[in-house]
Amino acid sequence: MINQDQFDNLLVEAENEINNGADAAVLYHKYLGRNGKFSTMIKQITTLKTDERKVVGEKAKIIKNRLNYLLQIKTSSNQPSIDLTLPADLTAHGHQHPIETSIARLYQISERLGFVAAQSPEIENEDNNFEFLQIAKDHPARDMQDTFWTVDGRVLRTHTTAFQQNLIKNNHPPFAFVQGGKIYRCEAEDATHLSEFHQFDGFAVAKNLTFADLRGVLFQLIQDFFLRPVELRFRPSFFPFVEPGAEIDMKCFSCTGRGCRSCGYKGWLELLGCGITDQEIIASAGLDPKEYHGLAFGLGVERFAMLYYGVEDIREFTRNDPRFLEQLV
Amino acid sequence: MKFVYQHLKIKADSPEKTADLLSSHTQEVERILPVGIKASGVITGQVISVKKHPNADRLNQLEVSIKEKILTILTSATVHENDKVAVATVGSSVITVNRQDINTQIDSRKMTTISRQTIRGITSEGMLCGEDELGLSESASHGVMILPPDTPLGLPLEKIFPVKQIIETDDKGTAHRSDLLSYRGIEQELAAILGQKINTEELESPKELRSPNIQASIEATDGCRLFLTALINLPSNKFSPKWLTEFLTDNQIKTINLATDITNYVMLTEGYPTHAFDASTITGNKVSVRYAAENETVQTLNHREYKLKKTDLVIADSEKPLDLAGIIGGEKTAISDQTKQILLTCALFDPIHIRRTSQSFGIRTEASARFERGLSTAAAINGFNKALRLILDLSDGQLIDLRITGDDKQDRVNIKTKTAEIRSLLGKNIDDQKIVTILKNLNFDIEIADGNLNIICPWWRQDVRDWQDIAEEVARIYGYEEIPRTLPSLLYDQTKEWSLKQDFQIVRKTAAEFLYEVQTSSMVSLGNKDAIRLANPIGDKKFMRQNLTDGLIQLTIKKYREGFNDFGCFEVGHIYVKDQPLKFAAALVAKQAQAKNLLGIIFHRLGLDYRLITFQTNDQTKTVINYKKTAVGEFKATWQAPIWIFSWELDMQLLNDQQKQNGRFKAYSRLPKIKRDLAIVLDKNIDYGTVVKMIEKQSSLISKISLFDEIDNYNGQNNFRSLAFHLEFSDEKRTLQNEEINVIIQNIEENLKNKLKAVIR
Repeated sequence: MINQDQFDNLLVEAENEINNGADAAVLYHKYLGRNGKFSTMIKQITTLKTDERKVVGEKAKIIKNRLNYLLQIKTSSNQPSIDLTLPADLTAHGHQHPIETSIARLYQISERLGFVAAQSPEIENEDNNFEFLQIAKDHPARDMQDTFWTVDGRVLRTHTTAFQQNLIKNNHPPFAFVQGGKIYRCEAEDATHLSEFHQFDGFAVAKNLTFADLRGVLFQLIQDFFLRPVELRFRPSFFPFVEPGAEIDMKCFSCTGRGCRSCGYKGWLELLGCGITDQEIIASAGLDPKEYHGLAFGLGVERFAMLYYGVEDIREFTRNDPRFLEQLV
Repeated sequence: MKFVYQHLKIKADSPEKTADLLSSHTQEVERILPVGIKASGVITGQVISVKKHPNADRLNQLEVSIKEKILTILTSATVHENDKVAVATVGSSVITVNRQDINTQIDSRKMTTISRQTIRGITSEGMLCGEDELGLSESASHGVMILPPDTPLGLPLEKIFPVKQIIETDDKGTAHRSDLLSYRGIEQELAAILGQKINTEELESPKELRSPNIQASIEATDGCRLFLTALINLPSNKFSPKWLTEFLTDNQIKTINLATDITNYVMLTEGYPTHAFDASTITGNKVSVRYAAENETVQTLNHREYKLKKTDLVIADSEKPLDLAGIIGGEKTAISDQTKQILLTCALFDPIHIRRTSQSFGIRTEASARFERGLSTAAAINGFNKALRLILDLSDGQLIDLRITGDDKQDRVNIKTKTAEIRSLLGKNIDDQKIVTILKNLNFDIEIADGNLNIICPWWRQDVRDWQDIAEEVARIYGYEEIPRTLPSLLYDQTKEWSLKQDFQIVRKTAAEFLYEVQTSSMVSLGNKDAIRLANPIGDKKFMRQNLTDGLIQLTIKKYREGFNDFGCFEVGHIYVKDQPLKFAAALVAKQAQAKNLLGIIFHRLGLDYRLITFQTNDQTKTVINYKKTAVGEFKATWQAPIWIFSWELDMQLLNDQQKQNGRFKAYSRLPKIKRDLAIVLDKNIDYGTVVKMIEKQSSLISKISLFDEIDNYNGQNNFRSLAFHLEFSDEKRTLQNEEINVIIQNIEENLKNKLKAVIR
């Protein structure tokens, strides 16, 4: 009949062999393998009476754990040495583009605030890009944006705001959409200008949205993007499709407002334009502008990315150099 | 626009505070610039005598009185007896200009201390200064500065040109407000911000005075609504009073003669451009606002001649254009200090006309900038009245004729709204009283009853048209930063989301594990006949791209040559064919298998079965990537010695349309699998896909086929290759028997032998 002592003896026997330097794998097979000594013994436990079985079983469990433990130590003492300080080698060379990453982050942040991602075409009709947004043919606001035209009279959109007409005509409020994408301005490229760059626009229409809501949403968006506490200044500015219109400045990181080279000695960095949607745009969708209010904002993704990553020359974004791309996570 | 702090009638305690208030409530201040004298120790003096230096041809020997004594000064400049001048005495410092660096900024100049200097036997005890040497001008000045005749002697120059601050605003952000291009507009803003009210008087049209000497008319009625003219005899047009020259100098405008100075002054202070012609240059007693005749020419004050078009507005006499209306005056009709009679004009031009002409000739002037923003009838009357009154007062002139041509009816906008509407838009409980005070301080005429506002806008606020504009006025002056920040709960409908957004992010993230995400230009220099062309391209990029791969292949070759040997890149972007589809394209220096592996991984992450991708080469140039039976993109191999570049372009919408596998669990067999190997040799031209299809057909028990070896030119046989597979067999419900698998293998081998002429190894 199997008893507790037999298990104790088994342990003693195994300990001797381990200490005598036998191979761990062989010992494992001999004692704990499918047809090993332990397995053979434990099979006999079925012949015991219930109360004995319980006592012997407890013992067997302890012995088995002990054996496992000893053999594990034995195994690990034989493993080849490794040098954890050796450098890692990135065999796969690849990286996301910081502009697309920034757009993805902006989508994520604005989704938390309740916006839904939308898209509109890059080659737009004049109406969506200008007229609907009250930028009439000879409006001085067109000074700000010299436009690429196609031969068939369409425009390469000058701002992602061009999505507003389709959104308000195809969706009943409440709605809140954001769009990130490429825009075009017909101007010479230098350290602060590209002719193709990216914007991120937001447009929400609902009953009784307020200027205070606009302030809250954008404060959250900006703070979440820069991942640090920010100090913002909302100041009046004019865009034909909003009223009241505002521009947002952020207190310069580098000089905390004293004025330095990166903020042009102003102490503030211009971030983005925003405002409450002009009533004519709301009314164009057959809504009552005194009941339904819209929030709108548009920001330059390159500008945000430059501030976030500390890039000083905007052309880095289009040079596609791996040494640049690899650095910006 | 630039405003001199010292000339603002209403302002905060310091230029900095004033600038802050304007930035927060009205328009951004770009910077504050100090202006005024930078030299020190310079005093006023008067030239007593001028004679030639006895031993030097180019030098004059002067005696200059500085009140307590008379100095001998040598100079090469031309001055006359009795001229009042700025004298740098021994020990004073002035700014010296490196003449080679004449175009650079003042920073490159330095202060020099004046000392006694002896030239050819005569000692000079000082120097006469020009504006640049005093630091009053940043450009090199011509000769020495002559001060007004009434300047007292021996006075430190700091007393005459005290340091002042210029507040420079950024006009771009307020393109709708012409009033902000004037001192009166900025003062009005500051008053409201500071809680003050400027009292304004009722604006009245001037009284007409008709004489036979001149007639006026508007022929281009859609280009000009109102034309005000005044014919004035001037006893003297020489000097402007000191306050006026000082104002203009501080504002960096040259003083010219009294009438011109006044029109410039009125433009800066009131924001309305008026223009005075020398009446003696006007032919035929007639002036009119008309369109130019085609190819008519006009010479203007900037010494240029413009060939006009039929759409350009001019003020003309019976023969010729006198100026380029609303933009720049004519050279021949300009007034001088000899002018005895002037015609003062003030017209209300259509902004669009002015803008077109100014753009087509590429000239922007102080005047055109103001007309382009849109001015009102009232503003014209106000500007004209101010200019007229000043000219008559300061010159003792005599008004001969005054005419109002066109429509001088002033209309002021009436807006009705409720204070509750303003509050509900702003999200801040600003009480009725506060709202009314703000608007009153901005000079809106206002009546309030029960929260109902009846508002008449001031005549200089063309931009305010509706209740929302009123809400903005309240918010601005109240302060944007005083309004709280709240977070609305935006209700959104997730089903409206851009359908490709998830795929877009998955593709980017997966591909970026292996390839660099890049951004290439949408505009390219090559395009076929269907390509969208740009009307105004930059350089030779005339077309909108019709694919992404071409740009990526070029980029890859470039980077390879720059030494990035295993460069690979991808882009998810639009191409500009019908519907402007979104494409995912990649190009990489790699082995073909690596490229296809990567493609497989991306399909897998998108929830598509990568085993269902097939490649179909239609001709030498084009390989179509199929998923199931749909062509979803193209695969391309480009040989650019010494490397192959593999590239693909997939349509994101077509991929998205495919049925996704994810989200549905399919039971797998937990019973043992049986594995067999199979190696065959067959004609090289029979592709892998065909072989696999043939094997798969033989049994539904085959759960996996994987290629583990491929040898081209097997055993030196040129047209043959060897393929070796692992085959896996399993069934969900039962354990398979070796015998049945043997039968299947036999069948497979038979089929391969018979149909594909394969040899079993």
